[in-house]
Amino acid sequence: MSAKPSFLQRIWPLLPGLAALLITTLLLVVMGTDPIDAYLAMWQGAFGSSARIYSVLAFLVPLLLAASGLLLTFKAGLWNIGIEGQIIMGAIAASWVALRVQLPAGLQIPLELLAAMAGGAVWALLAGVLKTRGGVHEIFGGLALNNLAILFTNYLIAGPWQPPEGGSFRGTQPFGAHALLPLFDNSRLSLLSLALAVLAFAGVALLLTNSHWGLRLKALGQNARSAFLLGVSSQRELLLAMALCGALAGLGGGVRVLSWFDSLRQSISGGIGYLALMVVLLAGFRLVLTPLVAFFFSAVLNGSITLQLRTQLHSALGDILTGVLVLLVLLFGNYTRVQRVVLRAAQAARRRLSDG
Amino acid sequence: MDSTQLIAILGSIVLQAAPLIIAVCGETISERAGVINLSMDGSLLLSALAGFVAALLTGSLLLGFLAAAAVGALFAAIVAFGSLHLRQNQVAIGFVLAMLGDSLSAFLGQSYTRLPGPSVPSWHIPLLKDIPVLGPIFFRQDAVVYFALLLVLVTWWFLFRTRAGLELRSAGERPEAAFSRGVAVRKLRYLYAILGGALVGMAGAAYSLSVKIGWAEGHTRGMGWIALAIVIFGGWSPVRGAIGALLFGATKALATLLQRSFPQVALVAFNAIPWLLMIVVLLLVSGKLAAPLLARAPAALRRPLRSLLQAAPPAALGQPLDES
Amino acid sequence: MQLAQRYGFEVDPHERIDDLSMGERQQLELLRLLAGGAHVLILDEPTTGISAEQKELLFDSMRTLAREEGKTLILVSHKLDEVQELCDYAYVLRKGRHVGGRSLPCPNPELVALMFEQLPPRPARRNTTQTETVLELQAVSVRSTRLELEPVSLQVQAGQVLGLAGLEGSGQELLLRACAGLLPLAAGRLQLNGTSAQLHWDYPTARRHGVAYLAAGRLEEGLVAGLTLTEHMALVNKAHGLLVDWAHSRQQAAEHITTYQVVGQPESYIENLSGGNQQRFLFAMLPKDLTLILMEHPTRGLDIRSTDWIWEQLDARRSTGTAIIFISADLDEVAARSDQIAVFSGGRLVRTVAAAQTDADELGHLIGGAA
Repeated sequence: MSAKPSFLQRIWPLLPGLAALLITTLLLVVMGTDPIDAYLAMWQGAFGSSARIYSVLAFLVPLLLAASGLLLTFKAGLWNIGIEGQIIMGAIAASWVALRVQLPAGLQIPLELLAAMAGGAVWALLAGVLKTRGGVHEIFGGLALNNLAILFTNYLIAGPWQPPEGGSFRGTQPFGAHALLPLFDNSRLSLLSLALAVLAFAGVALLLTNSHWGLRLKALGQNARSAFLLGVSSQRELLLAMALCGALAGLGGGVRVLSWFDSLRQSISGGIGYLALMVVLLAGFRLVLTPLVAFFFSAVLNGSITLQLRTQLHSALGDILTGVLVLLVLLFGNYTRVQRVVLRAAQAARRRLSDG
Repeated sequence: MDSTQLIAILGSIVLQAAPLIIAVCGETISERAGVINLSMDGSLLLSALAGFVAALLTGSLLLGFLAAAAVGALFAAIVAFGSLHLRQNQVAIGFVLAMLGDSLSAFLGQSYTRLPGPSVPSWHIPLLKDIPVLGPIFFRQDAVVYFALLLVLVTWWFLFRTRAGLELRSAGERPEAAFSRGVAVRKLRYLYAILGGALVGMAGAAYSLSVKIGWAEGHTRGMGWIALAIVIFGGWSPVRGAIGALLFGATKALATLLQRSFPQVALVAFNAIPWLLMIVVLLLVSGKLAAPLLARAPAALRRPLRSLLQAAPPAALGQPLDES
Repeated sequence: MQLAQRYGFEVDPHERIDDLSMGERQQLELLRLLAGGAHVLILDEPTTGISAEQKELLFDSMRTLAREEGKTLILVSHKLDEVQELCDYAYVLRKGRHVGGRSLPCPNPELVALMFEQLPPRPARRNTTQTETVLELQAVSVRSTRLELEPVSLQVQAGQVLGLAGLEGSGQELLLRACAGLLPLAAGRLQLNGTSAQLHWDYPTARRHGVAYLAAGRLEEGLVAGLTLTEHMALVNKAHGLLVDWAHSRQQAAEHITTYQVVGQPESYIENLSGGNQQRFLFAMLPKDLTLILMEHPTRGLDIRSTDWIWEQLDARRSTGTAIIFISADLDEVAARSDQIAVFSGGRLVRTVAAAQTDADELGHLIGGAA
């Protein structure tokens, strides 16, 4: 290893981004769209006006909440893929309070948010208990619970919570104004929820870097056997990590129904949980990078929705851009590792040449 | 319900299960060699689209299946390269590919949504189709079903009855031991991961060209995850996996049937069955729950029950091996 | 199958390896090698974990191989009786040196003398053994998938050192782990400092009662790779409040580094320390007042300086009444450091002897399986 980083090594972190851009550009060309126009549309969709920026921030809130929660579960070595269902259950719990409970003004919204956290936490604990007690891997338990949560939403919308004018299968009736989060400047952004998300992230950061519990999670994630022998109770800490993550995700779900929408909708999360997993993977589980990546994802996805409205191109383009980026960073992000593989391959080729 | 109806239902179960069986066989091969291909859900979606589009544009079903297989193989190759060469986490790469396959299929498939297209014609096997009961269930289907059934037998025979299959399994169980006895572990893992991925791709085409003809966004969404769970339920054996796939097909058929008889119960209750089933079977095979249950079973039943329920994954599943 | 019949082996070819006993696995491996046309067979402790009947079968087949088929057999074994029974000539190796050989059969003491030479003089030490019983086992048996430990009864007094001797896999590991609460007792009673026997004995309970357990694999079972020394310190400290006092933990780590003479920094990752320093740090992390310390191979792979240092530390702990139970493959260490020695063979506690009243000859015999 050379002491001074080479030029290639220095620009290495930028290459996956460029490659991802190249791939999406190719896709755009194949689809017969002018890529410059498309990227401009995406940029304008994300940052073109203050309303757009508010929208990016509004979308960021649940994403950052979920990603913060995932930092905890990943630290403990858990793949909490069930986070999507935890967001949904949070949304359902908040909707239940909004639809069925009448409280004085000062209590209504706090109770909705608390319910949302409880809903997410319960769903996460279910996946956690299935793992610790039942031996079901959290990926499969979580996926099953995600789908059950989606089906439960559909059931509520089509059944007990259908609007009085008849089931539209799209959503419940809008909640009363007193039950909704106050919105900023006619946007979908609730400043309260943004503050909560920032606070949640800061709390997670503090827990992970400076708390005894965070240290125990880290030890569990690195070597569960040694951690147990050093006195860490793995079951309790894993369940606690799941519950906290679920609570944050649930809060995100609550924010979705109480500010982004005004009712419980069919695809209330729409994959924010999976997106949060991608955020944390791209950030490489690093604290500082997580909110930045989450913001970037939120901007790209908002931009691609505008793109779809303007050009009829499917908004999945944004997911492709971010997905390719995550994949390339996962594969090639580590410069020294790639260098080693390339060197080895070159050696092998040279040997083969000299032998032949 | 009379017997013809019952036979028709059983026949539809077999048809529903056929693509799952193909996908389960593919993933079983890959995992037996030590590579988890978690990308299956995205790979099924994209290959279903690729198969449909290729067949639509060329008019050739064969090219459709080949295109789908190529997509599946490519996904598997990425997982294999990332884990075997670059030493990255198989689960992470697989997950990202699952997401990416989903969004790629949504994006690229937009202009092919709900188009009429080619499909695999049904073809009744002479003689066999006339066997009472079994004939209508198994042999009045199309080539996809026959391929799936044959694949189960061939995969089982290959894994457990051939030398190459033994080497495949040794690469997944004890790679160090296999390597020290001259098995090229990494090469085998590449080979079988890609082969397994190609089969997963064909399963995707089996959906879009036979079982659920055509394309729509999210056409096979969820089936990949279910197939992954069935591989575990199947104890990494193609035969048990096929039984699991049939069981899953049966719950779908049962749901449709019950739906007709109990229209007042919400459809979602029936749609929930496969996912509940997934949790239950994984609980059963995990051993943590099954062990105390087994201990209570009569002694004579304990052993067969255990071999029926429990199975350990290949010991080196997902673990890298340093060959240099 | 023909091969199997020729040697009288009964291996069911349809069984899975997992379900075969150790003896059957060994027969299978032997058949595999013979089928592959091997002429020289090297058997390393071939009778470990197999039944007496299987041993007879194995020896019969080995004699057939040598006498009638002209194969060469090399046996590596601790068990003198087996060596005498089977071999024509014995080479004795000690501490990496070839120290002599004998044509067999020859009197056992001659071999033992070659193997152990003389036990080193027992280091002078205060006799701090008190009469207060710390640990009492009554007919404790432990089961694992490979081995069942037959009922063991013994007592350990405060300040006493009990050495567990035996070939690896003879049952002493099971006993140690059961005492630590890491394996459930299949039967029997375990009492610590007069705790009630009805107590649900698991690892956290054992820890609460002042039992410490140090496993053989330091980075697998004990230390967390990826954590610094300071982080380890903070991890084992009783948590006061929610947040870690990093300055305090760092200072503690620095203090321990000095007192325990660890070569490393508070910021060093534990996996970057040498084995001896890792072991020192493990000792540094042990709580102050312990009732019982359980150790697997406490000095394996360490240099002589670290070894002596570790026993000094243990002696200091003994003087405050801590009892020690340890396993070691090094017979010299067992003989030199223990007060009592419990010898295990084939899943059985063969005999407990006072260390002062035994010698290498007797230990060698006992380990080799003579009752």
